[in-house]
Amino acid sequence: MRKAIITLLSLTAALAIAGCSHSQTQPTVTSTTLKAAHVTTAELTPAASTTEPSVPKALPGLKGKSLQMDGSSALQPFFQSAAKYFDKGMGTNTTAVANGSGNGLKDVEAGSVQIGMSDFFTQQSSTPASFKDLVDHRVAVVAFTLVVSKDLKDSVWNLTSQQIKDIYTGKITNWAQVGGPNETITVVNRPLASGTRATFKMYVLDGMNENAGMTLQQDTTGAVATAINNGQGAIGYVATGFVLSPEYSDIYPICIDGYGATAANINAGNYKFWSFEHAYTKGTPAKDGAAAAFLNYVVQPDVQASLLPKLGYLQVDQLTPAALATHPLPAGAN
Amino acid sequence: MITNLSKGRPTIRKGATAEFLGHLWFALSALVVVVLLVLVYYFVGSQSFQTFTQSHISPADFFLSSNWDAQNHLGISYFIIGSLSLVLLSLVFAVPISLAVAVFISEIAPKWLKYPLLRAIELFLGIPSVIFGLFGLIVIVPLIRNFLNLIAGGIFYNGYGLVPAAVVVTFMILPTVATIAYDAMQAVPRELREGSYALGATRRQTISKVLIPAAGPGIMTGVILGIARALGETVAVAFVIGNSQHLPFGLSNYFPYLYIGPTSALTTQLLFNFKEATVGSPLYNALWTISFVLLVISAILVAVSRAFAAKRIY
Repeated sequence: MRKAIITLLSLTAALAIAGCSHSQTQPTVTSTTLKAAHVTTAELTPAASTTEPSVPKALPGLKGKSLQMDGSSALQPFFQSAAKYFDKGMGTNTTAVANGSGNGLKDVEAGSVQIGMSDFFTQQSSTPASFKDLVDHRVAVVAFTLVVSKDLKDSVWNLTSQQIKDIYTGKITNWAQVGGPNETITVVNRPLASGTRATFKMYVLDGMNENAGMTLQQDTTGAVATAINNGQGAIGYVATGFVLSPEYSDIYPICIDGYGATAANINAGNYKFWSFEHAYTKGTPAKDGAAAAFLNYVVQPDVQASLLPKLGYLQVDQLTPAALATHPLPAGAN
Repeated sequence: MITNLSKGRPTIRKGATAEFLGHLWFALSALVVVVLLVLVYYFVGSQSFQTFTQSHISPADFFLSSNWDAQNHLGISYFIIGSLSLVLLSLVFAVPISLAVAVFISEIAPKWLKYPLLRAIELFLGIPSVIFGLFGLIVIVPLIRNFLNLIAGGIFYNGYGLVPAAVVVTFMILPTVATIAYDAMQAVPRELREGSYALGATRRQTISKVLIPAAGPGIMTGVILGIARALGETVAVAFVIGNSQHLPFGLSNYFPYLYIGPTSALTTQLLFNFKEATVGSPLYNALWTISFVLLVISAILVAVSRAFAAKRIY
């Protein structure tokens, strides 16, 4: 018995390093090893840096200027923390509010803010024509992962693309159909207008419409994480940063087709569930203006390296051609 | 009226200017209310028709279809059914309880209990709805989930849906209906009760045959205000209703063979989608149409409530 436990433990350790197995079918292993087969949180994101970003050197004419940003709640934390250092150096007054990507794009097009933060390309919105003046700056990469509730952590650790499509379109309604316990599947989705939902639909569901049975809708990623954290038989998708948060200790990331949401899998072109975070300006921003200075600042390597990993985000300039090939730019993107 | 009176005075009184300014202030305030109301109806109304003119969704499709997932297929029938069944179920829960509370306080409770109870209901009335929502999410949803899964013998239900939403709404409309019903009962003259007792009726007969019919129109006013609140409640309901695109009821494979699961109300879809919807998109226009539908239903409710109020005798 004791020997068996030791063997199991060493097996567990080996699998924990390996992460998801790349086989499409689930091997018959004991629950202990299966638990370890989940993507570990350490694998999901690069180690958070402890260095602080550099404070930019003041530029002439920017002192006292105000810089307004609105949009995606996913990008806002990054810009908000970058703004602290930016303002310290430049003497500017930067405000970033998160009213959602749609509002951010609307506001920047109307000229009421200088930067609109968005989770999606304007070309992918339902009204691309109304954003024709906007210029895109891709400033970060956010990876998303499917997560399941506690009761599934020992049995469901990988789903194939086909299984995910069947779950989200209502063909599969019980976890027993995909090797889990006899429990009804509760799908936790985001609202129709959500940028994350659009990303999920495009890269995981291949554009299919969701029509699952026991669906819950939550209006923010945080609410999705809470619902899964307290739920039974629940599945949903969140930005990888949420898996690291101690607030949601009972959500378990799972793999898609054997690949977890890790930087390595993204860069190998094996994991497609990620998206760019966009900063949109109306036209090309004036070279000596606050918006241009801020956008230059946030893509500086030291700023990206120190602020992005804390949010679980990846750096745009570190994406490999293989990763970029999985996300071809929409027609008309700049 | 008052201005006419002051006109009739031969000399300009001290303080007449102050009085004029006061009247102006009252008149302007009243005007602001009317203007605001007209503006709201005009603004929401004009926006809402863009669903049909700009986005080319046919009204039949919009009100009768349940397809809420493609760009030009936005049908709200399930949300209308969800909202209406939420109102109905809340009334089924709330009206008997609030009537009983009103009868108890008005007719049965001893004096020393009457006033503490009334104050307690007032306190109840003041609780912000988000707190009921949290309570529903943390207490009611797991309770319903565990109960249903227990009788179904497996993990088949997640507890969200119409039932917890109706429970939460019941908490919110109960004090409204109870206080208004209580006021209506208090307005019934003493002579009526005494007449009834003089004819040899018992207290139970007096309450059911005299008091409640006499206070009926007043009670209905309370019920209609409750309906309006149930229809418009958003935040608390959004916590527990599940917000999915499904009929609130149906058949299922598991005991009790009734689908008791997530559904959606008009208000919660508005809350969830508005922030992210881009201006001019079909979804954006559809959300305005949902707002207008809510405005129209609430206007009808006010009209019905006025009709009942007009019937009031006491």
